[in-house]
Amino acid sequence: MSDLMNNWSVQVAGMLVITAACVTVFWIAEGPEAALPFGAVLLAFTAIVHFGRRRFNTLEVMSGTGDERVRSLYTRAIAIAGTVMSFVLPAWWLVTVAQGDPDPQLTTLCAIFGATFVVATIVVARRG
Amino acid sequence: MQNDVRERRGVRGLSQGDLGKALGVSRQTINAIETGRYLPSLPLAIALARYFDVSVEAMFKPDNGEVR
Repeated sequence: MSDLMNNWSVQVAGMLVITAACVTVFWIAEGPEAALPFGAVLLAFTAIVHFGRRRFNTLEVMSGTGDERVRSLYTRAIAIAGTVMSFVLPAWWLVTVAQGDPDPQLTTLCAIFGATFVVATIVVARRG
Repeated sequence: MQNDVRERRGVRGLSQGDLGKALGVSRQTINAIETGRYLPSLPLAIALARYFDVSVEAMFKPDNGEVR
């Protein structure tokens, strides 16, 4: 599985699938005027990361594909982003609770985030 | 952790890119190892040591003789 995730062609294919899905959703919801620019932005991002990673170390790390150092830095970056979100999401949710109107979507997001963290910890702990 | 990868590479007249290619890692990774910004994994450290025909301990030394 990790070899697959470290394959740039699989990554590009994945990004194209996400782009197609997002464009489809936006097209259905808001029409081509919203879908096409959004799709163009996603395609541009995919192209920048894919072609730029050969030249720029930061883009290579962002792509997550490469040698052990790149994968290690990518994992650390994701962990930092996840740690930040682990504060932002509950804090934001608590603000809505304090306002007397808990946001159900934030509640769900926090629950998913927490459950994902617990499951990931269990998996990693058992493997390690 | 200190290492003498740069010196050993220099003795053989290799560029960072050459060494990286030989070991299956990028030039940036070799640079990061040489400047101490990145500690290689055990397999990579062993591959590096074998490439230069030395032991891992001869190539990588803890700072100030400190061993954890």
